[in-house]
Amino acid sequence: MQADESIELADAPRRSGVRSHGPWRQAATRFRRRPLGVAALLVVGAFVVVAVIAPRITPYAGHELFFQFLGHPQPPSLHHGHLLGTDVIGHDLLTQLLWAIRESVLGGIGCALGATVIGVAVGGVAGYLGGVVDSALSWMTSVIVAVPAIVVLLIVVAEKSPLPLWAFPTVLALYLWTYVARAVRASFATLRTREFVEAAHASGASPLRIVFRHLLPNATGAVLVAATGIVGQSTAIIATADFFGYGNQQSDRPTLGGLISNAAVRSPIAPTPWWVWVVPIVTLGLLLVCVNFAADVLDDVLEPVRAG
Amino acid sequence: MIVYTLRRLAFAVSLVWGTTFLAFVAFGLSFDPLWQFALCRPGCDPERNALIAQFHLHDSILQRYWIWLSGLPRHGFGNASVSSYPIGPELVHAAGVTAQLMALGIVLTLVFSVAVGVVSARRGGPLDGVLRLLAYVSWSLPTFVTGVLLALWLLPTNWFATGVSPGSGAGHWIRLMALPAVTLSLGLIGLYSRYVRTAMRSELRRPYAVVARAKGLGESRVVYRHALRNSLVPFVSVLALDLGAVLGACFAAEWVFRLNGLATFFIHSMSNADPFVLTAIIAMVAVVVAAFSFATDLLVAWLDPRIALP
Repeated sequence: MQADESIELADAPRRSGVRSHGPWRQAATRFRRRPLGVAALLVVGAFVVVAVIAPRITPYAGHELFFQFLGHPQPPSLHHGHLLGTDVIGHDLLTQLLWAIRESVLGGIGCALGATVIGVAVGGVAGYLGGVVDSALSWMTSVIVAVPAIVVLLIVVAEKSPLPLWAFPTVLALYLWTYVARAVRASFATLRTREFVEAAHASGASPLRIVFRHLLPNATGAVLVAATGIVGQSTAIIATADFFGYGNQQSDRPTLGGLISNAAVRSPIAPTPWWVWVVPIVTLGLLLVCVNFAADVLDDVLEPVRAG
Repeated sequence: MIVYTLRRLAFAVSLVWGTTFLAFVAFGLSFDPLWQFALCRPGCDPERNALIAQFHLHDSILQRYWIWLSGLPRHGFGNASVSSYPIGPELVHAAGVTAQLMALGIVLTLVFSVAVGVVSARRGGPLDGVLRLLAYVSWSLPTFVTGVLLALWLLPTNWFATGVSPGSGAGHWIRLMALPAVTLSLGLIGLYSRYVRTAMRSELRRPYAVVARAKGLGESRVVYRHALRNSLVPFVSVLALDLGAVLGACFAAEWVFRLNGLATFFIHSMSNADPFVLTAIIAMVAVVVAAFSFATDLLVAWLDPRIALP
């Protein structure tokens, strides 16, 4: 009961008629002043939309082969029904690209969500409790981070060869949560000693209430920034694993890494034409540059004190 | 300084221990070297039993770990449980290639991150903008994409060698390592030149830099003698935290240019499903990461001696 009173006190200025601009509204204002950041976020949003509706807008079935173009890849053109052309063995490149975008974007976002849940839980415990628990958990994160993510993925792949779509993101989430945990731990460790937390303690709030009502809302910015960073990181790592040739099989479930890998290998049928490697590389590059830039701008906008 | 060194050394050792323990247990539980006898069950029982006895395959995983760990000082990594070759020499060779690539890549990264970051921070204007954009793109591209682009562009010139081309000597080493090292460092330079730039800009506004200018020092002396050392601290500390990711990038670079390092060895051993070789490789990965991490710890302490204070 006492704890609820302290919350009401905090709300007092709003009821007294003073218009307050909450931190989110201030952040939105700062964000609007960064046109490049807005543009990057829009591009990322477009990628997400494409990823979601990809199965409906692909012009052909993923595995459909156009045998008339076997060994005679068609360049991108508006006329003969293959907007981005075909590859050396006769796949429609646009269809392949759309499926690959779906795999990359959904994988990156799924991984970030999983990593955020684990990272907030572990980092929160470490930052709130401090002491031995904190040291033990940060040692554990150092051990996990010492093994390259790509090795972890390759180990998992060895278990079962045809992988479901969620396999890589799930495994990566079990690995990349350390980045969120580090961010949450750092902000909890500084927030823990602040007056409003002490006040909550003094008014008898339970630890759970302090964590969820007082600490976590103040760490949301840090969590969001870390999570956006993981979208980019996991997309890059999954593409690397696919490039190594350990992702899903080509043709019916293409991936950006797999498409680049196919383009880099010299085909016995015909020399690789430029569009076969330019298209997936530019797509992956654009996606990653925009995600990373959006994460950076979010960092500036949500953590203005640290950004200086 | 001695206490700090010992503490960081203890941390490095505990890192290697923790990683190998996890690897041994994970590989031991998921891979069974007895798959080799799946096709001839009755016929090869003596061989099968010999393998079980040699590797204590019927003991619990923790007992096996203890036997393996206590045998390390005497037998090294021992023999592989699949096709039975001594693990040590091959592992050392592969780790050597990876460590050379990583060392060369990190040296390039240190030098060029500082160069790009300092130029970017001092000049400002359009040059700064262009450098920042390039840094952004090269950091965002995954290492394998940079590698593929460089390979498509430069390998046809025949100035460079790959892991499958014959040759020896220092000239060959440079032709072999140049492209993978550049591939590895381009992405890292993109990331770390931003740290150097930001740190340099804030250091140059600090009172000591103003004093240095006020007493008549030239700008480059202020930058290189005073501000640079302090600007390197955040960069090197972050590098120490990212070493696992650096090694991952190293693997991608190795794979693109077909170097016979840890990545290739690892992927070949995956197909053998041999838990002992895989554990040995992860142990080597941990040793490489821990060694570089220890080196960067010492570098940080040299840059900012306050860090080593008790």
